[in-house]
Amino acid sequence: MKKILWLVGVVSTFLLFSCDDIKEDEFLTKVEGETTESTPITKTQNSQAVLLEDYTGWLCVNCPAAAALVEEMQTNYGEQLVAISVHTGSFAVPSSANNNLDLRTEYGNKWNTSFGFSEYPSGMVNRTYKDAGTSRIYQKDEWNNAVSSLLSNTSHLLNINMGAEINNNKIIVSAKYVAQNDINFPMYANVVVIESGITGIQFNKDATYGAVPKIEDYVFNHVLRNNGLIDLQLSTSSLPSQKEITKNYSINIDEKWNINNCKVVIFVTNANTGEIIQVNEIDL
Amino acid sequence: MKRFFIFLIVCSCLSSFANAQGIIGGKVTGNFQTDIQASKEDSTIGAKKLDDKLRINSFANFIYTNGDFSAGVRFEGYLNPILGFDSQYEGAGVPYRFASYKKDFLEITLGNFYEQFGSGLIFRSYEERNLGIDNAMDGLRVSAKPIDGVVIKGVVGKQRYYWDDIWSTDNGLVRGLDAEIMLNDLISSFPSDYRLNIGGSFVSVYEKADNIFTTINGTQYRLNIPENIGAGAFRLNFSYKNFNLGAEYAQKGQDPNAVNNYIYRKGNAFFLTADYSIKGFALRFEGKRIDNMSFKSKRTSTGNMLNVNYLPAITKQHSYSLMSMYSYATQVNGEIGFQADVMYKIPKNTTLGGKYGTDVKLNYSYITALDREPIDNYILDQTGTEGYKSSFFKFGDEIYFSEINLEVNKKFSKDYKMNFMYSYQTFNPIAFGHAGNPMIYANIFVVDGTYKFSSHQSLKGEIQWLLTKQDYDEFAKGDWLQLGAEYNLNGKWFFALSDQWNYGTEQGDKVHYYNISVGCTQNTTRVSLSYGKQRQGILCIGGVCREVPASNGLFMTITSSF
Amino acid sequence: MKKIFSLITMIALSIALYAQGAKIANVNVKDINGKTVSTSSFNNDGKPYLLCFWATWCHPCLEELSAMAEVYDEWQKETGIKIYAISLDDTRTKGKVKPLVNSMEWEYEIFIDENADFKRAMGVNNPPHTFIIGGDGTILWQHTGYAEGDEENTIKKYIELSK
Repeated sequence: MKKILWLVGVVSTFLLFSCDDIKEDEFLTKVEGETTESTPITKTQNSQAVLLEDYTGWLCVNCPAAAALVEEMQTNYGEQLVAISVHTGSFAVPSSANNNLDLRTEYGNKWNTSFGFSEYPSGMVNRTYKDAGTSRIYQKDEWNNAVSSLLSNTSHLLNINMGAEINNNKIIVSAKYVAQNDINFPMYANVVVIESGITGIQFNKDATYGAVPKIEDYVFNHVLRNNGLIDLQLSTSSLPSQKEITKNYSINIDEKWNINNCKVVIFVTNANTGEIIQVNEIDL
Repeated sequence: MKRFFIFLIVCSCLSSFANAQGIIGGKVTGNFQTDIQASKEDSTIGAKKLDDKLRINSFANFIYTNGDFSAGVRFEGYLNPILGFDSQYEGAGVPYRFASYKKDFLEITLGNFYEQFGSGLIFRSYEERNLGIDNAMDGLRVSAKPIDGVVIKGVVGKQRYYWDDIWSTDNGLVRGLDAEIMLNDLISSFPSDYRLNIGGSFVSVYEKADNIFTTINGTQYRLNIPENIGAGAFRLNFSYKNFNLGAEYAQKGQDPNAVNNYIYRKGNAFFLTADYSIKGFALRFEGKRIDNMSFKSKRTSTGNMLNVNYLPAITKQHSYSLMSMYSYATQVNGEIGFQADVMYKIPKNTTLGGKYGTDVKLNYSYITALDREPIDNYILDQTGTEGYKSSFFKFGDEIYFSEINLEVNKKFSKDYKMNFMYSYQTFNPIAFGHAGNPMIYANIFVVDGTYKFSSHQSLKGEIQWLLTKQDYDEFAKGDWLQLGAEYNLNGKWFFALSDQWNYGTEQGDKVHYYNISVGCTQNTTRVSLSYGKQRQGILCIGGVCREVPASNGLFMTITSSF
Repeated sequence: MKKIFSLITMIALSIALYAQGAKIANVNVKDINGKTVSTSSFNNDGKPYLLCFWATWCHPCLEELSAMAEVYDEWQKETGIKIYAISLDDTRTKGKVKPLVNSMEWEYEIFIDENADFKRAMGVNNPPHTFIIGGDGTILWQHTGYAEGDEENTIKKYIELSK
């Protein structure tokens, strides 16, 4: 009898976990963010650019060193390197010790889990797989090589020309995507806001980058913000060379942002592999 | 490859451990098959030039057994895959290896395994080499008999996908549990005239959500994808004296996928068999209803790989080539049908039975689409909705397949026997993936006879004739006639000639597909060599089909067991 | 090339390990009433027995089993032979096994190997495939295919191996 009870227990546990049931009115989520309003294109692109995502947090004592490296690389590569700081993980959980400054984002947290981050600082370079393996995570010392090898390719697939303006409580973004070669996979577009010049408390262990053990007036740059538009369908199958797609987006402005320090970043991924094929950013 | 060597080392360690325990020895058994194809260009039949000239498929199984422990590997090589096999098979390696321990009431398998729950409506991992299907699981399998009359099985793992390193893909993780109770063995006082077995199973596939979009009335939507797809099934098997009844019902949770056009409707399947048989006579009925039951461990995949379940076609399985020209394939998105069989042996020493008796078999099958209606405000199968409504017992208006088949096997004397078969088939080309084409109606006749002119020699002759008015495409080419003869010597050698003649077509040449073959069997080794033309066609086994391109040339097969 | 090399190594290894006297594999099959049975329970009171792999859709198999059915009575009286007929029918056709066996009046021990576990474990390529298994479970002889009159060779082999 005991055996049978045990069995019933196992089976019912299994049942509980086995099946997701979605209510009929939740099958579909309207894709927000695309709009009919437009703004002139003010920034064009002619070459490959790379997105460096730095996964970080205020409690991470090695992170100021990584942030300094990002600044240095941006100076070297100029417009060909776009940087985003993703505050996420246990090091980014706000508390009274940092005056409850919460720099985390919903999708940043999701990426943190889905890409398998466990050490900080570490990052992704165009979300490419490292050494043709299964991980996309690069340690800070590997960033520079990864970026320069991606930029050494002579041909690139796509240019993102863009423009942005503030309209009341919204940012209107227009983008013209121009294929430079035949693109034989579906693409997603991501439109996000990053903010620089946010002051707060940052823990630190290397005196080169500021006070130890914590920097009271640390400046956070390129901080990924909420309200971005993630994985919007850009093309469903392929895009022949020289073909264009024009899209207009609308992003709600959060009152916490200092809008003058914000930029809009667009990056386009290969929908099959998740790798980024092009990125561009524009000041507001 | 590295993993494989680690595996070998573990195996040899385990076996030497077993040796140390005093269980000396251990045996290796296995088998292998090699198919070699050389095909040349032939525009009359549409055979293309092969740049690689020679194509070879081969596999070899090695199973090591030592007492309760066994381990095995399978080597496979497709260099390059013979025509009709998916080009993703190209390559060689060891896609299958396992270690297993079976003692008394417990069996544990680590590595690759095949398994089936009930009739497979929600879980079957199997291989069908001739179709290039292999959905072996990689993981853990446990089977236990805790008490007499109860069998419990549990599986967890991922399914093979060609040569992919599946553990580094996002393909779904398959988990399953099955219990079967044989009441006669469990309850000693159970009346012995009756037999009753009941069983239940649960399967769940976990796969990360994909971004799937759809546009309805100009507005773009993202689908909210369920990440855990669950399925459950219940079955019973009852018999009383000469009567048998078997039934299985399965239900599957929401599973928007590429095969069902990403609809949210829950799937279900019902399978019923009933038969009555006495010496010399049997009656059988089988009914089936399938509703949105495509179940794969990757929701964006289509085709024959990564199937979690198995939905057989309930039509007669043919071995004569013209009989199986219009073979039905299960429509996993929905079908309803039945088949009935009557088998009768006309007794010996009667007028019709003759000296040896005569076997008569009659089969009828009928399969249609489901009766479906669209959901309010949407078209049928609209992505991101319930998809459709359907009443359970109603047959749809569109016939998928129907056949009436009569078979007579008659032995006239010790040395002479004949088989006759007649079939009338109604075939909807949807089974070949050509929905919307005209139905094909075919009358097919087969006569074959074997004459044994000494204890070492026999001759077999065969005539097959297919008559149809439909002559409109590659797969519908009018009338066919096939003649064949086969000579057998000592049970070791055979020599065969055949010609399949497409005399009834108005499109292109009336091609003769001649074929000549020789073969030799020595105990368990069989070598056969054939030369000739192979028509473009669709090879179906068990309700699953694969396209076979035309070829003209040599084909050699070697099989052996050791 | 490395893979082909490892294949050759494996073949060589198995030839080295291979010795007469491999045993019948121990896996689960189902009897005609759906009961799970272990193949280790197969026996003929210490005498050798025949193991025939077949399927309802396999013409040569039906010919072989029909031919043996006619003389099975005689064989049993003369030699004490027992035949286990293992059907490879899967869900699609396994429902036909019992009606077919009854209507053909076969007296064999019928078992169903629905997902080909036994077939794989015994290294069977295609049915028909016939084994003679010794009283201790050792594989004594095997043969593949069926041609008119093969059953006579089989019974000769059986008598020879029973001595």
